[in-house]
Formats: sequence, C-alpha cells, structure tokens
Amino acid sequence: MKISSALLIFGCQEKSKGSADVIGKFLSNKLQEKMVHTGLRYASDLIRSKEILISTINDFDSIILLCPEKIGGLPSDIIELMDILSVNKEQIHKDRPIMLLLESDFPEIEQNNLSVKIARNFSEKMKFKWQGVLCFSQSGMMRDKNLSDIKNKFKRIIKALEVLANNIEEGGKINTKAYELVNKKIMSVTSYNLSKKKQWKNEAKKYGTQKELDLKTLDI
Amino acid sequence: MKITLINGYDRSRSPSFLDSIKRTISDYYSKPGQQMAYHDLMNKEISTCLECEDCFVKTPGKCVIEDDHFLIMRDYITSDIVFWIAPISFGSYGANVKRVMERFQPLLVPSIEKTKGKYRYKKRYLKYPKVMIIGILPEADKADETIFFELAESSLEIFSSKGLSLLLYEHLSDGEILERLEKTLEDIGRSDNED
Repeated sequence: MKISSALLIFGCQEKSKGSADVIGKFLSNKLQEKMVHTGLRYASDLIRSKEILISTINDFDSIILLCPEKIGGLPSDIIELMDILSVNKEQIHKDRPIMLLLESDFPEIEQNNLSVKIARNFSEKMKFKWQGVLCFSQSGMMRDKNLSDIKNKFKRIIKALEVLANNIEEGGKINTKAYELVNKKIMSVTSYNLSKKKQWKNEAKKYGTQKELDLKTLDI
Repeated sequence: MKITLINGYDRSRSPSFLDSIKRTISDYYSKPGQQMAYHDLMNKEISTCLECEDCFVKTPGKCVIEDDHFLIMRDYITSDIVFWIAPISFGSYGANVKRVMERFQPLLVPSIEKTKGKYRYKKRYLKYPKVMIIGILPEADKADETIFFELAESSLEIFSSKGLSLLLYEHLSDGEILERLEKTLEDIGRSDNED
C-alpha cells in the first residue's frame, strides 16, 4: 500500500550536523520527488511535549528513526521518546510502518546490533509494522557534508537511499539491494582509522591541544 | 575504598523497593574507611550530549556543558566500585541513565583500537572502577532482559571496566532483593581478591 507521508525523527542533536542529519535530509528530498510528504523533527524537540509528540506521530503514515549509535545503544532522547509513546500507546495509531536508519562512526556495522534489537523490541511492543534497519558504518566521512555534492565517494550510499525511498513510498520492507549497498565499506578499515586520526589531529591543532589529547583531566 | 551509587529509578514508583536496594549496598560496605557517594538522577539537571567532540579535541577530557554531570563523572572515575540503578526501557537503560553514560565520552580519548573483536575508543585513565549495573523491570520480560544483559556487557567493555549486571523486578520482597544483591556483591568481592 502506497504511503503519502513519512515522519523522519532524528536522534542526533540539531547543531551537530551529524551523519544522521545528512542521510535524513537526502532521503527526505528523494521522498519529496516522489510526492511523499515528509516531516523532519528532532527527538530532543518532540520529547518536550507529550501532546505535540503524539499528534505529530499520528499525523504521518510512516515513521523513520535516524540515529547515531551512542555508547552501544540508541540515543537517550530516542529512548525517552519511545517511553512517552509506550505509556500513551492507546492514543497512537497501530500497524504503521516503522524503520530505523543507524549510523556509527566506527568502521564496522556490527557496532549497531544492540540498537537494532532495542528498536525492534519497541516496534513489536507498540504493534507497529517493522520494516527493517539500514546501518551506515564509517559515518564520520559524511559528517557536515551534502551527499549530492560528493556523488563519487558516496555513490553506493546514494543508490541505497534511492532504493530505500522506493521502499518507503510502497510501504514495504527495506529491499535486500539497499542492504547490500550499505554493507560495502566506503573505504578500508585501515584508511578510515587513519583518516579519523588525521581529522582529530587537525582539529586539535586548531585549538592548540595536540599534545594534550590524552590529558588526565580529572587528575586522579 | 570509595563506592558510588548512580540512581535512575524513580523512587515515587516504589519507595521501599529503592530503599531496600540502597540499604543492602550501604550495609554491605559499612566498614570503617569506606566512602560512599550517591547521585539521584531524578533530582539532577543533565543535558544531552551535543556530539560536538570538544571533549576529544578542544578541551580534552572535559565536557563543555556545565551541569550536574561533572560531579557524577568525577565520583565515577575516582571510585573503586560504581553501582548503576537503571530502569529498563525496551532492553536499553532508561533515558536518564543513558544520558549520563553518553556524557562519559570525556573518559575516553580520540583514538580507535580493536578490543575483543570490536573497535572502541581508547581509555584516558589508568584505572577504571568496577561496575555493577542493576537493571529494574516491573515484571519479567524475556526480550528486555536478553537485550539488557548484552547491553551491560557492552557498556563494561566500552568503559574498560570489570563488573557484573543484575536484574531486579519491582515486585520482589525485601528478602529477595537482599538475597540477589548480596550474592552479586559477594561475587564482586571475590573478583576484588583475585585482582
């Protein structure tokens, strides 16, 4: 069954310009090209009012959670949002499609396993229709970028999001093609780790802290 | 020896339940020279991590947000044993406990290493406390419990801590809480001696 609207809920902070933001905004554009109305909201805003959260959730056909992996699980704002929805379960429309898009700064997608289990458990308890999860590893490469501007480097990610947009429009589960595309690494683990190291080193140089990165700040 | 309790459980749900946990732990460690710190997250203002990475590169080891979090993190890293009392939501720690843990990133450094087959940030300090994570559920829930134990194991690895996790149901009697907790406290004590 085709859907006409999708709510994208970000588990990252608005100012972070994180990879979940980058992925979500690209996906939203693709959905709008298909005439699917999209709403982009941050969990940190939605959890401030139970009433607004419930009415926002009920206004859309489909829910897409976009989250960074945080200390081995889903972000705290997303957990709080899930708690509010669970307590007010009777007011939430059932059987709606929900999916999770997870990103991790680490080089392997296995880091996301627990977040996937938590989100799926939530979906089952809310009696939503679980549409699956896409995990994006090495997401540090996407931070503060516009995917359309660097098509070559992110061509598989872009293709996966195009496939995903079709799945969302159709109200179906995530296609295996999308999984295959995101499972391929953007670069080798060694190159990725080196590039992260370089990125941190450059940042530290900017602040003059390059010799203090392992400082025992709490002096114990 | 310093012991810190970080509580995310809302006491108003069952005052006697929380009191029983706290009493069992404090009685167990009520020896001269023991120092105990207690943080009730229900009474604290803790902001969500901004994901700015400033604690990695701009102010290494220090979060730029100034709130109650600093005292909790200082007590955590200067303790020998830390107890988390964490309500469980869909297998995860409740949002208030998770929010504090996310702000513990300053305890790590911006460098990646592979530990037990997984990539992790390296540790900043030489010594990390032993940690006991007590998950709280209103009643038995297989899915929540399985995820919780996996998550607790992962959290211990992320923060380079040895430790244990334990599940308690809200409806347990004082005697049952005492029995379950004491057994785990003895296990922690035994691992102390092994070290």
